[in-house]
Amino acid sequence: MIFNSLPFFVFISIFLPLYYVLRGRARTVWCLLASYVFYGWWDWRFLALILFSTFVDYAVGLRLSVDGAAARKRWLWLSMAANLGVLGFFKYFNFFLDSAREMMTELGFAAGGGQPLSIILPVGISFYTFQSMSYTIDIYRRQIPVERDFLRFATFISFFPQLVAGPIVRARDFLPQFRKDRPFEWANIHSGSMLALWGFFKKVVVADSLAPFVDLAFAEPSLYASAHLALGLLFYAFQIYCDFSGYSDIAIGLARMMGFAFPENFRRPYFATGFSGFWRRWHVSLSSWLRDYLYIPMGGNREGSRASWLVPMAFSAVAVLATGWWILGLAFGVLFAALWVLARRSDQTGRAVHNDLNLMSTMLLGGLWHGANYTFIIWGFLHGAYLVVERRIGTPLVKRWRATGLMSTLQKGLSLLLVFVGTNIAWVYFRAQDAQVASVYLQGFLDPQGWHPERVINKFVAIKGMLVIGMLLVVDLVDEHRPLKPLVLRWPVFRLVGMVVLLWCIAFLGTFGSDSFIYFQF
Amino acid sequence: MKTQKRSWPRLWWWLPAFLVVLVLGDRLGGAACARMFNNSQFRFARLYNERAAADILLLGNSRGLCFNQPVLEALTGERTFNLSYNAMPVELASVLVHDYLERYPAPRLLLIDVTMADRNNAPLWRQFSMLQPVSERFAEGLQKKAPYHAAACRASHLVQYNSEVFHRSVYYYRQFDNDWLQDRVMAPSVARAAETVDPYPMKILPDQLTALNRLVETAKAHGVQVELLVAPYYPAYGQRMEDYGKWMKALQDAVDHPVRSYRLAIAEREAFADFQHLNRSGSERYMRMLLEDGVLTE
Repeated sequence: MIFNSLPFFVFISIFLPLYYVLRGRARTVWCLLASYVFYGWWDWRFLALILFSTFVDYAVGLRLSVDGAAARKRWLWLSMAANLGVLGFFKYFNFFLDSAREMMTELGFAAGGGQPLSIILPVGISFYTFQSMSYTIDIYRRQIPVERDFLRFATFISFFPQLVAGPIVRARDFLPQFRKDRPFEWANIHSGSMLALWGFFKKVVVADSLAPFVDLAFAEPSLYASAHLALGLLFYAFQIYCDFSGYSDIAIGLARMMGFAFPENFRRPYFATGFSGFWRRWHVSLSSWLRDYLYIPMGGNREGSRASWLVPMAFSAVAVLATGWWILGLAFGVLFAALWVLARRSDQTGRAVHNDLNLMSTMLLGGLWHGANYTFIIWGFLHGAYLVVERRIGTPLVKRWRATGLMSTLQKGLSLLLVFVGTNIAWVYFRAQDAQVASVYLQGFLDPQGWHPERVINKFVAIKGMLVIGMLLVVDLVDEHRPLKPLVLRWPVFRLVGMVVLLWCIAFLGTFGSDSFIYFQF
Repeated sequence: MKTQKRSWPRLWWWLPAFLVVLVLGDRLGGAACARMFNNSQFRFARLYNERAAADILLLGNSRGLCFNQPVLEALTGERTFNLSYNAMPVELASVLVHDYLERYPAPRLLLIDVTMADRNNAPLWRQFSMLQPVSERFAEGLQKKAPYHAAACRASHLVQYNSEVFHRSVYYYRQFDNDWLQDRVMAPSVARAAETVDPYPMKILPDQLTALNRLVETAKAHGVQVELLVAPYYPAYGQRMEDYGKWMKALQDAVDHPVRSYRLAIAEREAFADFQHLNRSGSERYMRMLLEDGVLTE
């Protein structure tokens, strides 16, 4: 079931009134049943996977709360193996099989057999798996108490508003709220429905209106001129932002209507003036998950670990074997050797090298999380490289500029532009079906004659796209400087006008008929 | 509970006020859009506002937009009116032609680019939903092709005007839209890609072919001379079209009327805007070919 569909409106109209009529365990059971219906609407068989994760992590949670140190570690490994095993099989099996075959061929071995399996990717598996893993890791670290109520735990794993495409809500944020009574409050209904409506606007008016233009540009980039490709890329940047943040807003809004406060998942990312700032604004629940459960355990800003070296080395090896460019292997070898020498020179340089390796490893794994394709790994690599360069060159440079007291506005504007362009280049890899299409797309920018606006095809879609992006940016810009949420909550008239205008815009400018959100595939 | 009690009375004024403002704005907005559409110079607005009388009626999908109206009018001295639209299927075109014949004296000639019969584009009906109040025939078709959308249009008048067709009518509010021809020339890299892109699959759709036959018969019954045409494709692309022969045979079996194919009649890249569409100079050549072959008369 997707949010922008008729079945969902029927579903929520039945669910919400009964949710508030019921109390205590009856409400929990209602919530759980509704979540399973919501998820089972796609394919009821995949409910078995959610149940599997639920049973395993519930049992592991109980054992972690009673066993000794050695046993606790074993239980944690069991949870990790179960969750990552399911994720690995459904999401990455064919990718690893194909990659292994390519590598064997590259190394001169005959790579027969091992036909790809026909595996359907269960919707939202990456999201609920990470959510479930965070629970066992937090218990292992003794950061949260164990949840003994199975119904409550099962509802945490399958809670329908954010089950399919996030935000990834952690047990420490969710379970304490679930334990409290959540009485009916109009303020929650108002602010929740306003946020959900804003999410629908982003999805239906912006993202889905831009999608046809983007789909055509990326399907066969060689057919289009530079100007058309540039507009296609700009549109994709806003399509993915509005598609994903629209889903998050609807999810957070629905949860708020049910009395839950979920953290923000997007904070106007294209206003970031640095790549690290971008990641504090984009898919915050994933980036903070990766920071807490990957980056910091690897050593974070402080030190290195074996993983700090092994992860980038493994990805480098895969890159060499996949491309067959042995010269790349030599370059990586020299790079790692130089880093090794640098890391041993002094504590300070050692820390810096490990810090960069940890950052790169996290971004590479973050890229892989998005999907089983080399393009996502390249996307992760680019962002890792941006972050490293920013930390080593950009930040000191900005500090020096700031010290002069000059050019602060200009510097901000340039940084914003640089981050936006860098992010867009990475989006080409994120969107393209393979690395070859991405490279054709990027090469398309090199034709100086193709930049005339006349070369943009289907101008009406382009003009509408620019118009809806403009509308979005105006709201985001206002929100960036003066948050709109308090205004909406304080003034009923503002709420009324806001909701009515959003509904008119959806009716007049919305594109209907889309049956998916981009992040469902992850 | 305290908050709940306090917020109830506020709701009693808030909810009705919300609904009144919502519906009122929707109706006002819808009325403004209707006025704008009716006064526009856009072809479909003119069709339903008695401003489309012509001697030569042109019909097709985006390839039908390559009929070069200024050249056609200069060559023949007759008035032209083009009912073509991007990706238009025959069933929808048929509604427009029927409405035309109901409202105007029959034209002398109807030129149809038959490649419009290879796609059944039901979503395009939604794009024309602003015709619902002015054409009963269209309203019936929309009800069949997109019943949910038809209902949504009745509930919200703004939804009726949510389409590229309406946006175009705003664009052509003050300017005549007799000329959609493209001036650009297909880039050499694009021309090269014609040999490698997936071949275009021609689809045999009995519904569309039957509708085309009915359309031809109706036009003939009104005394209109009908010419069925296939406009030029860029040859490297046109030659690779999948099942073109089969499709043409099915078309000729279904429609009792000869088809003139100009599929490979123009070879130069400079005559094309892309694989499927002639540009301005290409379409001028095409019009002259039609004149030489007796399709048009001076």
